[in-house]
Amino acid sequence: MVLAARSNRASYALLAGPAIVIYGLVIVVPVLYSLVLSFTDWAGMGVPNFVGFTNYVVMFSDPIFWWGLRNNGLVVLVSLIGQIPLGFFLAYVIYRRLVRHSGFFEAVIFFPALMSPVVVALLFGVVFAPSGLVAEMIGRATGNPMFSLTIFNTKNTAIIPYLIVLLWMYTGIYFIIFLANLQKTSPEMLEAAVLDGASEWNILKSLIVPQQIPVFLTSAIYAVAGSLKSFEILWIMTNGGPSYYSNVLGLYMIQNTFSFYKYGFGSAIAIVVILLSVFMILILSSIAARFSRRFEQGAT
Amino acid sequence: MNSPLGKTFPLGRLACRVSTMAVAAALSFGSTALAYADVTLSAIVPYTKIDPDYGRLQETYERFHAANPDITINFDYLDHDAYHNKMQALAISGNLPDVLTLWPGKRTGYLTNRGYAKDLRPFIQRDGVDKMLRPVFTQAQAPSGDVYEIGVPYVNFTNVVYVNRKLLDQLGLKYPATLEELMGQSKAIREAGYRPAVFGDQSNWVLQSCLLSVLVGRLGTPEWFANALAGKDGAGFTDPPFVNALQKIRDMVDAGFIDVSEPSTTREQALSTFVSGRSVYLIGGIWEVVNLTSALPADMKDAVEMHPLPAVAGAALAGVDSSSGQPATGFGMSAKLDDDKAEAAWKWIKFNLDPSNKDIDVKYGMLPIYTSDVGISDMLTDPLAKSSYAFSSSIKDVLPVLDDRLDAEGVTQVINAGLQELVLGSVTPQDLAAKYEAWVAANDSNRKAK
Amino acid sequence: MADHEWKSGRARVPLPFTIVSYVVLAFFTVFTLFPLIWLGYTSFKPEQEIVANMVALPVNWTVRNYVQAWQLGEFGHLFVNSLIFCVVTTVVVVLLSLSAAFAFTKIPSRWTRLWFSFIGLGLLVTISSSIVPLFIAANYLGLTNTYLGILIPYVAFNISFAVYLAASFVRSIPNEVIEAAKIDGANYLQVYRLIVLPMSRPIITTIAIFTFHACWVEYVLVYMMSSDSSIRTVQVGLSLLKGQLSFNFGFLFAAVVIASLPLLILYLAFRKHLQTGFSLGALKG
Repeated sequence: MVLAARSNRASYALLAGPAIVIYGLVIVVPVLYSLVLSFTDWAGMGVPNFVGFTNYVVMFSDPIFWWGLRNNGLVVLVSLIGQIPLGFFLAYVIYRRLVRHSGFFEAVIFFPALMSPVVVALLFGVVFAPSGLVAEMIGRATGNPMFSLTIFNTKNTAIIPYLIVLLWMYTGIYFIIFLANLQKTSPEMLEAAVLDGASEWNILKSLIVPQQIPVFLTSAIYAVAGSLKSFEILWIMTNGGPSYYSNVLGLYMIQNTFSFYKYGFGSAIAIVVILLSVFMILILSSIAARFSRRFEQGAT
Repeated sequence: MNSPLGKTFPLGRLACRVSTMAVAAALSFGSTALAYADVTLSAIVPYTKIDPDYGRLQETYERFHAANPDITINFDYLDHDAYHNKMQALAISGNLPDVLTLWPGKRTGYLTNRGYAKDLRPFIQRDGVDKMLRPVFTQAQAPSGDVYEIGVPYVNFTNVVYVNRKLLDQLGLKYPATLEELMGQSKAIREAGYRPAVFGDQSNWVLQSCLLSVLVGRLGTPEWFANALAGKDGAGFTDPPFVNALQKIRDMVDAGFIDVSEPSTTREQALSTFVSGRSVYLIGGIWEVVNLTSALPADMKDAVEMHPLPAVAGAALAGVDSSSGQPATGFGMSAKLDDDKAEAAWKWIKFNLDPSNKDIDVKYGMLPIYTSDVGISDMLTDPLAKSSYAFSSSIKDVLPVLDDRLDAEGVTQVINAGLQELVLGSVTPQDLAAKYEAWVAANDSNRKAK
Repeated sequence: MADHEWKSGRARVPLPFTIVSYVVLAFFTVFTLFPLIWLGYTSFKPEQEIVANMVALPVNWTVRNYVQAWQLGEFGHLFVNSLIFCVVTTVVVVLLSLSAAFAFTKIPSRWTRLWFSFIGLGLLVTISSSIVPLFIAANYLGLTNTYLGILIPYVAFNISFAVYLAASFVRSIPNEVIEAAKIDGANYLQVYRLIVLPMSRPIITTIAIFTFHACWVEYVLVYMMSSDSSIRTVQVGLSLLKGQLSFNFGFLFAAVVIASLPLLILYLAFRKHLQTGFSLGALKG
C-alpha cells in the first residue's frame, strides 16, 4: 500500500510536473522579478537603485496613465454591453434559424476572431485614416475630394475606431460560445412553448435568457480578463495617437519600457496591469457566484 | 574594383586566426575557413529590405567584398524602432554586433554614452579621412571629443518644402518669400479644392523634426540654443524663440495651412496625397526624394521642386539658406573589437565614405558632399536628384534637430505628443513650452551635464 | 438531428426582431467582406493606381506586388519559422497538457486543487501583459534571439487553457477503464500512453488546432525577442513591411494576403474544432 502510494505520487509528479514547472518558471518567476524591479530605477544596464514607491507615485500622477485606464475601461464596456449581448443575439438568431443562409452568416461573424491582430490593424489603419478608405468613399459620395475624416481626432473620440474594430473582431467569440450553449437547450421545451403559442419574443425572454445567465457571467469574466491584456491592434493602428488620446495601459507600458529604457517604471506598470486584472476578475467572480447561487435557489 | 584608399591589413593576423576560425566554424563554413583566415563581422542596420538603403548597402558591400575577399560581413535588417529596442537589449546582454549603425546625435546615446562604441579618431587621423570631409562630419559626438561614427558624407536635412509646381501654377500662385505669405495661400488653395500641405504626423516626430526644429533654429541664435540646452544664463525653453516657434505652428493651423487631420495621417498617406496631386506642398525630410522618385508618375517628376522654408518674420536668421538637419547615420564599431576585427570594420567604414563609390550612393538617391567637387552634379540625370543635390549644396546653416540634441523621452512624450495637441487646439504654445522646460530642467541629460 | 424537429413549428417572429437581426448581420457582413474584397483586388493594383484612387478596381491587373512582397518580405523563411514555432509548441502543449490533465483528474492527490487553480491563473495572464517581465528575464538568461526563447513562453502561455480543455475531457473517461488496466498491472505512465492518449483523440485535435492558431497569430513576443531576422515569423515580417522612411501600399497588401491565406485554410478545414475550442473557453469560470 505504501509502495503503491509512493508510485502514485511519482507518477503524479512525472505527469503533472512538466506542465507546472514550465508554467511556473515562465509566468510566475518573471512577474515576481518585475515586482522587485518595479521598486528600482533600473535602466536596463548597471546596478538598479532602490527607489521605493517612486515609480508608482510617478505613474499615478501621470495623466496618460489615467487616460489609458479610461480607454481600457471603454474596452471593457464594449465587451460587456457590445460584444456579449450582440454575440448572444446573433447566436440566438442563427440557432433559431430566424434568417436564411445561417451558414454564411456564421462564417462572417466568426472568421474575424481568427484573423491575426497584425493584419486587422494594418487593414483598419488604412480604413479609418483621415484620407483612408472611409474618407475616400465619403469624399467621392459627397463630391468633396478634400474630405478628411477628422472626427476621430479629438481626445474623446480617438479610441472609437479601435472600439469598432474590437466589436467586429471579437463578437464572434461570444457568438460561438452562446451558440454552443444554446445547442444544449432541450428542443422539446421549445417545441412545447411554440405549441402553446408563445411568441419568439416570449421564448427569448422567458426561456432562453434565464437559462443562459451563467454563460453571460462567465463571458463577462472572460471579457474583463481579455480587455486589459491586448493592445497589439492599437499598437500598429494608432500607436496611441493622436498625442496620447487612444493610449491604453498595455501600450503605455511598452512605450515607457522599450522607448525610454525605463525598465523599473515599465515593471511597475506591468505589476499594476496584472493586479488590476486580477482584482477585477475577483470582483466579477464573486458577483457571478452570488448570482448563480440566487439563480439556482430561484430555479428550485 | 579596387578600394582606392588602399589596402592595409596589418597587425597580429595570426592572433586572430584562431578566433575567426572558431566563428567561421560555428557558422558552419568549416572547410573554407581552413583555407583563408577570414574576418567575419556582424552588423545590424536600421532599415528593412523594402528600404532603398537596402539596395545601396547590398551594392556597396558587393563591391567591398570583391575588393576585400578576406572580410565577410553578415548583415541583419531591422526597422527603425525595432533597431533601437534590439540594440539596447543586445548591449545589456553583451551581444552587440561588431559593426554598429550609429546616429551622430543623441539617438544612439544609449550606446555611445555608455562606452559601447569605439572612438574612431585614431583611425580618422591616421588615414587623413577628415581632410576630404566637411567639418560637420567629423565634429565631436561627445563632450570628450570622441567620434563614434562616420557614414556617407551626407546631411539628412529634415526640413524641405516639396512643391507641386504644376498645381501652384494652375492656381496662379508663386513660391512665397515669407512664411506669412505661405500661410496666406492656404485659403485660395482650399477654395480650389486642394490641400495646402501634408506632413504625415501620425508617428508624431514629423512636426517636431521637420518643422519645429527649423523654426526654433531660425528664431533663436545658436548661442541661445546652446544656453537653453545647458540651462545657462537663464536661457530655457520658455524663451521667446521657442514659444514663438510653437506659436507659428499654431498660426499655420489657424491659417488652414496645417490640416487638423495631421496627427492621425501617416507619412504613407501624406506622400500619397502629394503624389496624387491633391496637395500643393509636402513638408518633410530630404529622404522623401527617394520615396517620391519611386511613387511619382513620370509626368510629375519635372513638376516637383524643392525649396527651403520661406523667411520667417522676426527670425535671428533672416535668410532662407538654412534648414534643420544632421549628418546621416553612419557606421561605428563595438568597443570590444580586437585589433584585427577593428581594422576590418574600419576598412568597411572608410569604404562607405570613399568618393569612388559615389556612383552607388547617387544611384540610390544619397548625394554625398565632399570638401572638393567630385563631379556629382554631372552624374545626375533625374530632375529630382538634381534638385536634391542643388538643395543640399545651397544650404549654408545646418540647424539642430531637436530630437537629435535633447533626450528622446522628453522630446517624444512632451514635444511630439504636445505638438499634436497644439494642432488639435488642446494646449497653448505657452503651456507646452512651460511643460517642456519643466521636463528638461528636471530630467534632461544636457542640463545634468552642467 | 433533434433540432430539425422543432424548427418546423416556428413561433411568430415580431417584425422589429427580424429587422434588427438583418441590420446587425448586415454590419458584420459589410465589415468582414468589404475590407477583405477591397484588400484582395487592391493587392493586384499597381502602386500608382492605388495612390491615385484607393477605391477603384485595378485598371492594369498585376502580380508584381506579390512577387515583390514574397521576395523582399522573405516570406519563404518566415513561413518556415512560423511553422516551426507552431508545430513544436502544439506537440509539446498537447503532450504536457494531457498528461497533467490525466494526473489531475485520475490520480487522487490532495495537491490537485492547488495545482489546478495555480495553472488556472495562467488564463488571466497573456504574453502582452507580461512582455516586460518576460523580456527582462529572457535577457538575463540570454534567451533573446533564440528559438528556445520563443518556444518556452509559447508552451507556457498555451498550457493553462490546454490543461483546462484536456481535463474536461479526460474526466469523462470512465474510471473503470483505468482501474481495469491498473489491475492488469499497468502503471499510470503506461495507462497514459496506452489508454488516455488514444482515447483523447477528439480533444487532442481541438487543443492542437487551437494552440496552432494562437501561435500563428501571436506577434508581440516574437517582435520583442527577435532582433535576428532568422527567427522572425510571418506576423512580425508583416508588421516590419510598414517601413519607416519608405512606403508601398501595393506590396503591403499583397503581403497581408499571403500571410492570411494559411488562416483561411485553417478555418475552412477545421472550423468545427476552432469553434469548440473557443466555445469551451468561456466555461472555464
